[in-house]
Amino acid sequence: MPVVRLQSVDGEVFPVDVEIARMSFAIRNMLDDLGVQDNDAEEVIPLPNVTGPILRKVIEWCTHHKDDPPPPEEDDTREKRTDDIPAWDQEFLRVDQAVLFDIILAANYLDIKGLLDVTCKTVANMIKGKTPEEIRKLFNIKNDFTPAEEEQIRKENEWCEEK
Amino acid sequence: MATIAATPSSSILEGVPMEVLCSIFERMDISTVILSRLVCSSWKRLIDPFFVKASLKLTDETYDFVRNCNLETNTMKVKNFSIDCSMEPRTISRNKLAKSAKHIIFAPSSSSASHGRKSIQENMTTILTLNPAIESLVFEENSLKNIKSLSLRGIPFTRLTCLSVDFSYATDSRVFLDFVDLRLPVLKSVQLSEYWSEYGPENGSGYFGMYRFLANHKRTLKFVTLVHPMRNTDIRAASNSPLTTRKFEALKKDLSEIKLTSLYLYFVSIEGTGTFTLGGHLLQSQRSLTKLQVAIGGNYFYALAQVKEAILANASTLEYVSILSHEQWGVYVNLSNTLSALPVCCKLESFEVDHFFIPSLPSFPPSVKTLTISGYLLSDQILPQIDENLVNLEQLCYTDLSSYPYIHFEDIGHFNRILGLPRLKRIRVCKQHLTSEFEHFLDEHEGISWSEVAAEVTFRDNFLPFYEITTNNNNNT
Repeated sequence: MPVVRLQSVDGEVFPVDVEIARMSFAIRNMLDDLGVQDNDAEEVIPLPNVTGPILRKVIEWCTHHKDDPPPPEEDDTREKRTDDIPAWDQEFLRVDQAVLFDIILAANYLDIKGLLDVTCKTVANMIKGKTPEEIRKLFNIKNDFTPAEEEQIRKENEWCEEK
Repeated sequence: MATIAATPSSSILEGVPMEVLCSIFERMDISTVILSRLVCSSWKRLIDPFFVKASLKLTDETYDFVRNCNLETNTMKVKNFSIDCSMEPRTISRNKLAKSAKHIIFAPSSSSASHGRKSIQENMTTILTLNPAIESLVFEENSLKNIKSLSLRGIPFTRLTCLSVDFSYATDSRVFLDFVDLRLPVLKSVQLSEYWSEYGPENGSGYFGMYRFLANHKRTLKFVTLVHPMRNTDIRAASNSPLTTRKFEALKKDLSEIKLTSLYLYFVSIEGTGTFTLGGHLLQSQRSLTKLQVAIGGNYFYALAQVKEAILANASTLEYVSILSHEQWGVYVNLSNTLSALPVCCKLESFEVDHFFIPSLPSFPPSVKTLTISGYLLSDQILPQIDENLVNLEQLCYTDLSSYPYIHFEDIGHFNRILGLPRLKRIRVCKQHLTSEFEHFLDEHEGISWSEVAAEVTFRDNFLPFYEITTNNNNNT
């Protein structure tokens, strides 16, 4: 199996099967741009936005999902749901909030649709069912609304909610 | 890679790019997204435009058009088309928010008909095209001003049950044709306003077109409201009528097959000075109305005769009858003959008359629960007629518009009797006509409470103050 070498920002190098690396559209584009041949095993691709520990997690996820069917095209009729996260992914994402967001950022940077989807869903699930105050606490966000502004938004929200 | 949570006081989300947060919002259910607007201003700033855009899957131009809208997935009110602010192009596509609007309300534009690269009508069409599953659609007063055509024909509104269109200032006959051409398979309730206004198309295409629209939905329509096209022109005299005799007869036949439960007709004779009107024809065709409201102007005598016939024809089903005058100051037209049809309405629960001359009341059927009487009354003749036969009367609203007489001491006895009716809960009476003796009477009366209330009736541009008297019967039910 042909291999590419991915180098994290802190210098760690990971040899990865090309097929797995190509799950990242960013890497796929780089490989295509570089015209990297299957046997160019010495080629190193630097990833200046991802740390070693996070890259390890990302590769682990990709390896586990390498045989997944390609994600469906954008489909507007599809029900939006966040309760369909596979058990393996749930276990895999049982990490610190900081690590979770690092994985999201990496998935976004590397353009790995499946991983971005499952991590964003995980965060969405964390937010779901919480009050605005609980959400602020969860992410350490400062409430910068005046009471009057808050009241105004509440009113707008009432108007928005399904009756 | 952004450094995250360097100090305890900074949020873990610092350094998380906007598009990543958007990716998270996109995966949340609607109510969580709405609630998240309250978290902080940067979230709100992020959610609002994203939400608008994602809701509608709009092009950038259309995004402009609705960027100030207060809108969400179920009710979307589209207004304020100003575009004084350059918008931020985003490439958030996705998800099905777009198709989940159930109710769309178009409010009037505050600016001219065209701005940006898209005209208002193109934007309206885009919004409607994206939301074919809506259940109700409202074009508010002036919202169709200067609109040429909405190209609605191809949109399959298979769930639209409720449509309200105000054509005021709609000057282009094509916009009328847009609606005439619609085929709405489950349309149940329609309100059409100003479809024959002085600003409308000259050739009567609005007038005939809207009745053709009603006729095209004769199998499903149950509730119809037609609001005064104020024009005193005989429809038959419209020499450039777009209808041939054959088509006109076909239209009449279709209209007579509409079986409504509720008809609110705000004109009757004003739509033509002749004796035949399509509105009158629709009214005369009804046999099972439960609700009838007419506002009358123009040819009062002919119109009132029509109303009387309609009351008699629907006597076994009518629960609510309301007769209003178009004239703001009321008219000295005697309603007695029309009202003489009411005693046979065995299910009548509510009767309302406003701004008429009412020398006497009919004997109401005992089913009546609510009476609203306002007009030029002779109190000493009206009040005695609200009698013990009205065993179910719960509410009386009484306004005498005559500047004189006031309610005198002898009238107070009538109120005493009315307050004794077994189910009476509330009397509202116009204060203007009451003397201090009346207040004294109320203070002395056992088992009631009273207060002054904000008026609902205007007369000669003045709000009339009211006493509201409530009885202990309120507690019994």
